[in-house]
Amino acid sequence: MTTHRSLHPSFGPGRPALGFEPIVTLADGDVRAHEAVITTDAPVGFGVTRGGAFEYVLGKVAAHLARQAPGAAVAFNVTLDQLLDERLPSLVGEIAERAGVEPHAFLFEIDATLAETDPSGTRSAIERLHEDAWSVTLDRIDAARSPLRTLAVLPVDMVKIDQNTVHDADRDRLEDLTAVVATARWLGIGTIATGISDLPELAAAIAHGYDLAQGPIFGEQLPTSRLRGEATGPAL
Amino acid sequence: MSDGVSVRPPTDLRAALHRSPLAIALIDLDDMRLLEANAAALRTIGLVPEDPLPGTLDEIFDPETRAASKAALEVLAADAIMAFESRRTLRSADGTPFDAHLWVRSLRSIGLHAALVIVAPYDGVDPVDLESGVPATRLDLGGAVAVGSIDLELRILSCSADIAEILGCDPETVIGETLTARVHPDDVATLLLGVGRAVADEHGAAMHVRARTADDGYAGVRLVVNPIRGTTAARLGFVMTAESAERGGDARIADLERHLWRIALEVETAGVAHGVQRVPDADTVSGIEELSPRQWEIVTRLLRGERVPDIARALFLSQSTVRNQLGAVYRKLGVHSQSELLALLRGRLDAG
Repeated sequence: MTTHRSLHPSFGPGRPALGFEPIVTLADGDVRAHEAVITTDAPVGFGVTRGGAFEYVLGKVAAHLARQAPGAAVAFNVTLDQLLDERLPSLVGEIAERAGVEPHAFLFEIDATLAETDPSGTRSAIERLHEDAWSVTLDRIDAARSPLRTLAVLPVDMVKIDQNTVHDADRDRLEDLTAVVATARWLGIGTIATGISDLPELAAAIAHGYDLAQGPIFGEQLPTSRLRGEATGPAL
Repeated sequence: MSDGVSVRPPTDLRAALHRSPLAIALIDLDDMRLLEANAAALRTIGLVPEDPLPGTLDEIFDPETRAASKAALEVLAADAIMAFESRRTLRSADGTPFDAHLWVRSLRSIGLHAALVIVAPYDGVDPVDLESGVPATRLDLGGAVAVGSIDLELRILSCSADIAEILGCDPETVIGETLTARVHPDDVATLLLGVGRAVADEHGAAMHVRARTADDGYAGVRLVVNPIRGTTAARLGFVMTAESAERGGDARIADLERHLWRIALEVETAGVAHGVQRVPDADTVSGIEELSPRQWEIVTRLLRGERVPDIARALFLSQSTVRNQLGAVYRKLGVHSQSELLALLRGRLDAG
């Protein structure tokens, strides 16, 4: 992943910065959504923030959407605790409505490693979110952790597979990941290749049949001030 | 809006308009003003995006042909026709007149009382590449194009001012008259057969007839009649052109029909119509008020013809999540399948 710049001056020097990474449709190159990340030394999902800080960051994202890209979809990571918290959808809904954006513009992501620590709780949480058709993505599926079993247990809407895990995987694991993509397609689940940094990786993602992709090759993480100019794809 | 139909332009409507390489404008058919114009359209009339839109269409139409230009739009506004194509003289912001070729299509059939206008300056140079599927400007209709509507008894309900150029008569004088009385007695059978074919096939039918002129002579004209969809009253729109001395009438009509159909294609290509939802009012179907906004969005996408995989992709959901939501919708509305659901909602639209 390339350097992620400080993106939100209001966080101030030395504080975490907010950024948006484009998620692109491989079929036509359109920007479909962005992932909101917080950057300290390295980008992380802002689910790492808790309590009031989480609400603050989410409010910032919602405000940016309202001002600069109404209709845009933004994915963000949540912790397992946040996912299991029954108040999560109402909290997100309230913040979105306060900012004047469509609540379902927010797409939840849960790290696969976290989800696997409590599969039944995660499943229940996802089912609860699905009652109002919130989108849930399983992030960072790990080639070393029986991804097919995870996919069979968790009724997610999309899966993310990091290209780095593809590079590092041995032949068997690579076949597992290929099977994940094929299984996801069979289940009607969207697939996102992440961490795409060069053309060979992009070609591999297209060859493997991923629906969407994100990563440095699609441009550096968008500073909030540039979101308007980039936010012209069909979903934005 | 009336008829149990409401218009909910999606948030990406403007974005789609402004992405198009074609010069496209939307006209509000209620008060005849520009709703929106993309940069290419603004450039055509000598404006830039920062400039305010002209307050009325009178500022755009050349005074000499303003009446005819407005009359054609009024016929469109009355749902008498769905589309027309014509060459008009427009005025730039600095007052300079210029000829433009207009493709005009009502968006009524998708629930919006507005017209989409594609403008191509008629400067003899194709501004866009035909290979890419966007329109050329080298289509010279050569004369006036009268548009109007008739009911199933062939009574003329409305007619644009261009009829004066074709038949020499005031449009007001032909309103209420039947087309059978307007055409030569020997051509009545042709007319009836053509209209019958259009009604039976729900498709446009073209015919060659002689129409009575203001001085009681007859002029050869070509008529294209089209059933009007999306309205409650049964009627047909017609497009009348004078026969061209230079070109065969059949070729003229074929051109006209082809280009009328191409408007629909261009609307789709431009992506402008995509996302405009024609949906029943919430109080017209029992149970609709119980649907969540998310379920309502899925239902309206279904009504627009999107399939479950398309909806899933658009909403970042798995297909099973969408199907589960549809299952909940079925329970709330008391239906058991997608076809029953669509029949129920479309039934309400048609009844409206």
